[in-house]
Amino acid sequence: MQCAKCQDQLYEYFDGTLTPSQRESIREHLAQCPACFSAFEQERQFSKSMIGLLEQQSRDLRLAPQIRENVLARLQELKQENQISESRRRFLTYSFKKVGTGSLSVRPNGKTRRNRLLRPTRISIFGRLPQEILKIAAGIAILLAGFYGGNILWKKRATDIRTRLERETDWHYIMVSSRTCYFLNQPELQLMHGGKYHEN
Amino acid sequence: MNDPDIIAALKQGQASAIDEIIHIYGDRLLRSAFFLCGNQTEAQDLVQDTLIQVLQSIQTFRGESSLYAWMHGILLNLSRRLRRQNRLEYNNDLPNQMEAPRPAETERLDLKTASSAMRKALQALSPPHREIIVLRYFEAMKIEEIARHLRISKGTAKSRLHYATQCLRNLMPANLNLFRS
Repeated sequence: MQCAKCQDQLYEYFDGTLTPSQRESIREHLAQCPACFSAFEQERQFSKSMIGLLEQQSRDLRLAPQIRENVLARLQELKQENQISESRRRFLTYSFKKVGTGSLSVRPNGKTRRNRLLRPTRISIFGRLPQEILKIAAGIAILLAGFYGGNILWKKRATDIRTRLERETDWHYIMVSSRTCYFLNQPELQLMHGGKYHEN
Repeated sequence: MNDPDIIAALKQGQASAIDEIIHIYGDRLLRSAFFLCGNQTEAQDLVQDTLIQVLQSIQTFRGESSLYAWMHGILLNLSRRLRRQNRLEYNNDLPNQMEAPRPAETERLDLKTASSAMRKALQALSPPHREIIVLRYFEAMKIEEIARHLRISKGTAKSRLHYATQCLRNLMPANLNLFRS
C-alpha cells in the first residue's frame, strides 16, 4: 500500500467504516511506515485532546429557562395563526371525503401531501359554510342577474321598436332568429339587430 | 419518550414535546451553537431560533436522518445566517474580535488555560473549518455523516477536515503541545 492511499483512509480507519481487508492492509502498512504511523498517531492524539477540551469548555453551559417560555409562546401563536387560516384552507381543500390527517398524508399516487400544524382530521361540507363560498356565490349571482336582466331589456327594446314601426308604417317584418329580422317591403332596411337598423 | 413519539407529538402541537426536546437535546444543541458562534448569548438565541424553526417545519421532516441531526442542520443554517448578518453589521470590527493566541506565549498552561486557548483558536478558524471541527470532534460524526450534513463529497470533507486540523494546530500555543504524541 502507498502512503498517500493509507493517509487518505485515515479518518475512515478511526470511524471504523473500512472493510476488514482494508483495515488489515492499513495496519500492515503502519507497521512498516514511520511517517504514516506518526500521522495516524497524531490524529489519534488530536482527536482525544479535542474531545476533552471541547467537553471541558462547554460542560457548564445550560439552556436558559426563558427559551422554553419563548418557544411555548411561539407554539401558541402558531396555533392561533393556524385557526385564522382555517376557513381559507377549508375553501381550498373542502371535500366530502377525509382530506387531512394532521401530518404528512399519502396520496393515491404515492406522493405525500404537506399538512399544516394542527390540521383537523376531518372536514365536512355539511358543517358551517365558509365565508369564501358565500362571497363567491354572491358574486356569481350578481353577474348572472346582470347578464339575464340586460338580455331581457335588450330584447324588449328591440320588440318595441319593431312593433312601433309596424304600427306607424306599412312595413312588416319576419324574425329569422331571436335577434334578427327582415323587413318585407323596405329593402334598404332589411336587417335589424338588437334594436338598431343596419343599412345595406 | 423516543424520537418517533416526540415527532408525532410535535406534529400535533403538544407542548410536552417541546419540553422533551429541550430536556434531551437542549444543552447539546447549545454547546454546539456555542462552538459555532463563540458567544454564549448568541448561542442561546440560536438555539431558541432553532427550536422555533423546528416547530414551524416539523411537517416537512421526512425522517431521513435522526431528529437531532435534522435539528442540528437547522442550527447550522441559522448560524451561517447570523454570521452573514454580523459580517454586514460589524465588518470593520472583525480583526479586533478575532484575536488568535500568539505562539510565543510562555505562561504556565493548565487544562483550563488550554481549553480557553483552544476556544480562541477555534474562533480564529474560518467558518467552514470551524464547522467541520465541531461536527467531527464535538458531535462525533463520521466522515460520511459530515459529508451528508454539509452536503459536500466525502473527499471534500476529508480534505477540509485535514486543513482545519492543521490550522488549529498552528493556532494553538507551541508550548501547549497538546496535539502531539
